[in-house]
Amino acid sequence: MSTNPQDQQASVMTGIDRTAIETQIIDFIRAEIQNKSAVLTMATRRDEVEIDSIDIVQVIFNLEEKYGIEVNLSPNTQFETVGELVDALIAFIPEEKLPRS
Amino acid sequence: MTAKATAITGRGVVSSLGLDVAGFTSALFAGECAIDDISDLAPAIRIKYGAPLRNFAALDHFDERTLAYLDRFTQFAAVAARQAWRESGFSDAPPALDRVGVVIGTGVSGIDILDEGFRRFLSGQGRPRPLTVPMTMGSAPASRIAREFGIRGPTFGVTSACASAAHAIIIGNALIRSGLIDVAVVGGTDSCFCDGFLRAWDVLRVVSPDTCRPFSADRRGLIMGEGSAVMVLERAEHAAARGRAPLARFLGGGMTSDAGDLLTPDSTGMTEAMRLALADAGIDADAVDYINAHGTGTVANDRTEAQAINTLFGGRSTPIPVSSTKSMIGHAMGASGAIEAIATIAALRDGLLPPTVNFLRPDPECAVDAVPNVARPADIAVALSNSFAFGGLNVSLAFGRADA
Repeated sequence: MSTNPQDQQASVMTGIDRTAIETQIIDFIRAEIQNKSAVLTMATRRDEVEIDSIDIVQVIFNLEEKYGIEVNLSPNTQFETVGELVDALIAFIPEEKLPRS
Repeated sequence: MTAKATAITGRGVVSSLGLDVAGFTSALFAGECAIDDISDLAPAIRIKYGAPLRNFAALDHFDERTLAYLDRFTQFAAVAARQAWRESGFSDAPPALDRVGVVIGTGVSGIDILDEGFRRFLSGQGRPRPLTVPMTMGSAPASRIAREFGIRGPTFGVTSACASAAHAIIIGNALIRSGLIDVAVVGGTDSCFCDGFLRAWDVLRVVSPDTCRPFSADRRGLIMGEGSAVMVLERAEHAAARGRAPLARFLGGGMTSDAGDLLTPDSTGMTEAMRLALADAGIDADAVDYINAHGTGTVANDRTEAQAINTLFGGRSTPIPVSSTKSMIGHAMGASGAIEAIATIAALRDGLLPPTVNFLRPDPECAVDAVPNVARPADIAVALSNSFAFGGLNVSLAFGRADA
């Protein structure tokens, strides 16, 4: 689930399946990181799973290819949890392209 | 000479003659030639022969995730560096890593990934791969090597076309001499067989339509090669303090620029580079027993290099032996100076001169003893290795046997 209560509220109102998109992006991240057996959730801390700048570039690229969008996020973006990164990435996906429940 | 000499304590090589020092050296002395038909790599151009590393399997050395950000020239360098680091003994007992530097030459940089990326984009198949920029940068091999071993000292690439590795060796050694570091991981790397780069070389009309015959009559040009070699240079006292006997010594080097024609060699600059190498090493021309030539196999280079050699070393009762490793592995571009340094060190260590293969008969305009076709036993103590690049950039390196 999103770490941002307002996002959760908004999702309910628009029918967007927030959990589905979060899971999808977490899967993108899992595909890139070195530690394949790591447990990745929105609450997982970045330093627990060592997400580096290369992983972020790859995730952005794959997300752009999948959704046909532009994700203008720096590979040096600051975040402490996987959830913060996921939220930052979701912000670049237009609402009409997000999965609905 | 020993006052300034630096110990060489590790070597690694990834070449078309062999993927390690033992394989490379035995093929070198056997006079094997790795030049083969490459018309499948870039169809419908004049270049038909080359010496690519067909049997280098990246997945034998790196996992898929790592390969996503290492272009082929960086893969070569990292594998060569692992061999050198292991031979130096630093794999088991690392030195103070902030007192180690990495200087790796490349003439071409990451052309494979760039070529592929442009091809995808221009053919409407998509974008360049996401990590194209860090893959193609000329400092990528140095950066990767530093990361492999946790090296934290000065780390960078140097570039001077076909003299890149030779410049890298001198600069790494200069960092040791300056007192900045104790150990330098030095060498060169290049990967050259993507379609676009072959086509670019094709238009220069310097590539041979058959094979590479340095210093021979009927030579028709250079043959493209690729690969990497890396050495561990170590302050002599540092090596001695850990009880490490040097494999050979790096005595010094000379560097000049012609400041003249871009593609036509100039014997004055070549001669001066060799003279400066001798001066830096603190030795006389008479002390040099063998020269591993730049010896590209082009009409112009070999004639000019022979002239430069005879200016400094002519007049001996027995001519100085001069051979070209490029006759076997082609021209490995920015890696050639390092691969040929490994060949030169092998000659010093094994008392055998590597031959110039494919040699037909002497060319009166190249009056050198080219050690034609067959390796020759010779008890040698000091050798030069030359690298002369497009752009008029000349380097000569002086190596000495461990006990010299």
